[in-house]
Amino acid sequence: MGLRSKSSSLKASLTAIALLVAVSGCATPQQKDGKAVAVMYNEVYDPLEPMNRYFFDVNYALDALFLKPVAEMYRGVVPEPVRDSVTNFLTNLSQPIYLINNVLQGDLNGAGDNMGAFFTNTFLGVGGLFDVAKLNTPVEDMGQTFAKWGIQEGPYLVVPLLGPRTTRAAVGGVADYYLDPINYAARENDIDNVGIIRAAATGIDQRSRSIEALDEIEKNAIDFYAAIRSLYRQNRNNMILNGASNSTQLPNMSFDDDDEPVKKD
Amino acid sequence: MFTRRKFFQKTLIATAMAVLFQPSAFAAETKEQAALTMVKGIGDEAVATLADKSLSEEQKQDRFETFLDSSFDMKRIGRFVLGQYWRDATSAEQTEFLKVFRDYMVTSYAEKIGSYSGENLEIKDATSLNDKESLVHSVIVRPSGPPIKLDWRVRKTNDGEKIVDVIIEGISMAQTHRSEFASVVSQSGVDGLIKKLEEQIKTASSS
Repeated sequence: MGLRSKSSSLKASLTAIALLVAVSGCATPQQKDGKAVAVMYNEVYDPLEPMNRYFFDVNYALDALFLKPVAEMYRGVVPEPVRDSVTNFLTNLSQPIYLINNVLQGDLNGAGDNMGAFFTNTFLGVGGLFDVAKLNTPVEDMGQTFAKWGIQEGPYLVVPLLGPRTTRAAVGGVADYYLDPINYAARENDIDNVGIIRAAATGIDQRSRSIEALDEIEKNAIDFYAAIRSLYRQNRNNMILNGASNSTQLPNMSFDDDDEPVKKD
Repeated sequence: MFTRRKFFQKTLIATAMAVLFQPSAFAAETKEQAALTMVKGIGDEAVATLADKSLSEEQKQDRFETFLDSSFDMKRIGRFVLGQYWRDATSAEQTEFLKVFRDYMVTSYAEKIGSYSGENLEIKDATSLNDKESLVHSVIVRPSGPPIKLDWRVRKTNDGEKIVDVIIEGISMAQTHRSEFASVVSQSGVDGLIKKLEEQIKTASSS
């Protein structure tokens, strides 16, 4: 059983990487005429937009029907300290995969923090319910690792149920699932549904913390889909840089005919 | 004796060089310094206005509008957010868009005024972005919850320092608007975008 699951997870990872390379290979956008056009094209790179918009609507409906009410109920019924402990517990479970990704990214300081946080919070924080270490470890995933390795982000995708992803992050998510020592341990010990329960708990936890923020974005948006697409991309880039100065990523705001912005004809 | 004279010569040259090069060093410092001073000024004023209980909601909104018009380079931001479509637009469309975009900014940010609950702005430092622009780094310190990173992109213009973008936790507001607007324009043109913004202003101010 152990051997079989190992080889099947290896196969899955290899397939995922092959898929990623194939997609990023054809992901080079064609240069259209005009620099501004090319810049915008790269920024939103979304060749599957009609399909993505469809799944965006599907996800929106599912969220309105299930996730958001559950998240609101959860926030209304469960007291804050308990909810904080849920967040701490879920974060602690993720430390091993964060650590693996930090090692793969060559960030040994980050990996050390993950190790410290995991052992401190598991043993002194009652199995991770309390954040004793207070190391504030950022999320690290395979998508970010791929980015550090120089793999292109590929087309923007809206994955049914899961939401916005770059292709790179979507493939990374699959790789994370198979690499995660917690999931691996669960498989080895024949404990079913750990992945699904964890994903559902994480979903409700995160949704309950972003109710107002998302409502506000939706309220001010004139194209909610495009607003989310831009916010997702920028946030991903920020995560890849681990919040380091993003000044090199900021768009150019100078114009050729700078002193006369309004056209005269 | 000879060595002492040499020493004097050296000191003299050093002093001369210091005097000669000081203006340029001074000028390089002032761009970021000016940006920092500017953001500090408006930050203090904004927090004071928000925390002032003697002012009504409308008075606060009026002050916010004045602040937006005087401290932001709205023309540049407007032009930037229209991106590739700016050139294709007629001058009437450009003027109309700038007006509507300004009102849209006012309405979408004005309603946040009421939700102020003791946050404070802590200005950190400023770094140079290019020969005209600097980035002023600050954090919003909240009574509860972790602090929020807020960067101000400030540009040197003919009318002094102006804010051209606000970057919250690494997310550029100008870039988000541009991306969103481009999507609307590609579907329904610049006039379609203007209509959509007008609708948005109407629903926001009626609610």
